[in-house]
Amino acid sequence: MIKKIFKKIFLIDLIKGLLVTLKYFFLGKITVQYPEQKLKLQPRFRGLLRLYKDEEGNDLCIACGQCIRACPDSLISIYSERGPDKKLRPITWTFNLSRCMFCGLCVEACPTNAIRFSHEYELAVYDRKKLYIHKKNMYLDENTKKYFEEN
Amino acid sequence: MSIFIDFVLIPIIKILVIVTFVFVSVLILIWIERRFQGFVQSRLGPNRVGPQGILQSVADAIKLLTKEDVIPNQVDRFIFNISPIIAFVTALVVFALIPFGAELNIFGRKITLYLADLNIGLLFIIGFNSIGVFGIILGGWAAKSKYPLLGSLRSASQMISYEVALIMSLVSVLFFSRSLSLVEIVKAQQEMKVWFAFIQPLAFFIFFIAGVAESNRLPFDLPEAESELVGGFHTEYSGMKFAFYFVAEFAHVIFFSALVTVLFFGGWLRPFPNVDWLNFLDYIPPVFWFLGKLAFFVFIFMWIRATWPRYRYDQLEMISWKWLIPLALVNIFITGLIVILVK
Amino acid sequence: MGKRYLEHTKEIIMNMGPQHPSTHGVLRIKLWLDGETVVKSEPIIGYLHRGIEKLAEFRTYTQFMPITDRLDYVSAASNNLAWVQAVEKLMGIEVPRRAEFIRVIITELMRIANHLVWLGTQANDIGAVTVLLYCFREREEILDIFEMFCGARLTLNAFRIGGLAHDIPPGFKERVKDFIERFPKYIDDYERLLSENRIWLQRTKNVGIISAEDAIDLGLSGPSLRGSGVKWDIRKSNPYSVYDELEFDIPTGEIGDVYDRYKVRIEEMRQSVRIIKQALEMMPEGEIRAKVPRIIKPPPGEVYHSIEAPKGELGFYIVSDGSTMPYRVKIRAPSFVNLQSLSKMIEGHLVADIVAIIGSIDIVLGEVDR
Repeated sequence: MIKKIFKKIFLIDLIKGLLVTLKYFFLGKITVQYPEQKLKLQPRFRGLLRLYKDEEGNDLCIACGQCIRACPDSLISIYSERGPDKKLRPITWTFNLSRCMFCGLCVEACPTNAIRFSHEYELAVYDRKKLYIHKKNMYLDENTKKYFEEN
Repeated sequence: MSIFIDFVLIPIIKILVIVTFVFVSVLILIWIERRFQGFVQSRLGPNRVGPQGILQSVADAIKLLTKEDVIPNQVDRFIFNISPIIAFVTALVVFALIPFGAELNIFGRKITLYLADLNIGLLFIIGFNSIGVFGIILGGWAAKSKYPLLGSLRSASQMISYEVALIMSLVSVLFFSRSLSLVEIVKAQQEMKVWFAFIQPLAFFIFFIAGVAESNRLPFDLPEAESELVGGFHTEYSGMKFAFYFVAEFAHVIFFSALVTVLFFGGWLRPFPNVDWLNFLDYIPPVFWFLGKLAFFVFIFMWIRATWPRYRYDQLEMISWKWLIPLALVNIFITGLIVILVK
Repeated sequence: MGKRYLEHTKEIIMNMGPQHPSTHGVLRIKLWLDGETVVKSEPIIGYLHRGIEKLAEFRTYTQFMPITDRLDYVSAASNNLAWVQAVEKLMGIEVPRRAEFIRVIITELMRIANHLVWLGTQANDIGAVTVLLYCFREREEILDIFEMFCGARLTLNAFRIGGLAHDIPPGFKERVKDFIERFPKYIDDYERLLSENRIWLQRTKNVGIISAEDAIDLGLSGPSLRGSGVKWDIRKSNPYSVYDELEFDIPTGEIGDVYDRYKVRIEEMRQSVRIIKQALEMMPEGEIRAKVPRIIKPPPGEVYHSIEAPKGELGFYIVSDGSTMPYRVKIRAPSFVNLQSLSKMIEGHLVADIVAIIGSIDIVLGEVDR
């Protein structure tokens, strides 16, 4: 009883709160100063979608259309033709970034592992037309490090 | 010549110093508050504008200056323009009486570190504070819409009820100092060799809480809280007028901290005057003691703001009328008894 | 000299508009005020309607899953779980045990993340601004764990019909274990800042009381119902997944005010930590996905399956006609049903209490409007 009155008069409960705040004052910051420092991303991070080539430099994409069927919003469109080696190759491969949810169903559906997530997340552009990415910009090599600079 | 220097030149210099002090310290205070809140919240505050973000307040001031001064159609023009000025001017005027330090001897001339020392110093200060409330009431009333009116009425009633508690807690200090002049109060603490906070802890406590409420800071800032329905009395103001209210609020914070140090913590006196081996502390000029204590209390204002939630409006009023004022009256009674019995 | 005005006070009709810092989204409340007290109120919703139930009729069952993420966007994995389990119930698929345990871990982590957002926003509305930042700091760690698991922080889409999309990466178990060792101390910090704070007590005690009978009549569920003293948790009464093998308690309140709901949710966070600890130990090796045909065609029929989402009872009612796309999907969203009790809770309270009460029901407008 006495303890309760003591606590009430001397504002012990309020002072406990003040001490918690003071503790964190001395513990320092946990924020990352972007853009000078950037966070390290996990391996499975869902960044921008990219097409990949195999070791010889051929397209891994065989234009089977599984990714088109898997996408909830039908954002990919492919026009394909049979090449000289009787294999189906995509001629135009267009991807609409403006409505992509980054859900990953197309990555899961691809049988040859041609389309994968990269680690790019700085995707802002000034012009909406640049969000329709065409085939030549879908590959991640030295020419297309930043996809919209080419366009 | 001597009259010219004594009555014209030195007061003008003092006025300039005080005004600069208030403005600069408000700017620095805003920066410190944001950095402090950032550190408490495990992040940095503003750190991009200028080295470590010091020029952030300057950027804010430039933004407010260059903003368009929006005056809605239906307002009462004269009062709308005048009320920020009332709030701002009264917040500045009271700084004239605060003694920043002991007397200095420069070039053989005695210069006192306050602008004016009235015999009724405390009364003057409290009176001007009350006029400052007008700035808030009129500000809400001039913008003729329901919601600023509600906000300003609430703020007005909050400030009035806490002023009563403020004044009551001051009376018990006067028993010991026997004078309303601020300089005399500090001198009385020097004679009695003990600061008033240690012989009047209850009065200090009540005064501090009332001071937090008077300057509309958390935990008593319901009239201007964002999660309330309106922005309070300063909803309709933009640009420089809003800056006036803002500066007036921070000037209030500094002012109340200064009052607490002068009245309860010995003004410019150094701690432990009886202990001899601490006499080397005498070499520190008294101004620094004053500013140090001021900074300490401002820090406590900011610390409280970062931590506690805010009170609801009717609970605010209940605290003042049910607890603070009766406690202050009891304090006066007991202090009077003790003074009579001891003498 | 002619006219005489009758003196009477009228009630003010005030609008707490869709744009407001503390209505947790685009919620509009029309208030009838008598001075400062609320006499009547009416929430008006629909500002975030996106037609999700209609979208389901044109997507296959797997394609609809990322869209369920966006219902209750604060705790996305629970919506995924409800949908996946509803379809599995319809098709009669049994999920391997390893997948079930990983699902439980992810869902309970999501429950902690949801309660952290709730606590931060409620404390911010009442005025304690640092608690918001602390809660989001802890939530960052949980979201980093999710990023490690499936690549996305918020809209996970990590469950598939029949199991999981991918297995847990190496280092996941240690990271989760490290997190749940450290987390209870953070809850203690929040409690030290708020639970005994007299200002907090005055703002939340005896505010927004709803009795147990009213709560059951209005159809409340989740922590709002348990705050009124009703011991009802779907994880205990109709257990789904592997919850019947895990040990945990259900916290309940007493009178059903804002403080009781606060205490219930804080205790739920601690119980979630307990569940995760057990699930980590009991997780067997094995497959993560049952043998499911590539194209999912459930038999014609209908099913209703509900789980204990962090906000209440989240249920999916699916009518299937045998094709790859559902015929009709109806979502029983907990925030939508819980919002109906708002009118009853704020009667007779001051305007300043409304924000506290809205925060305590814990609504998300994405669920309310779908």
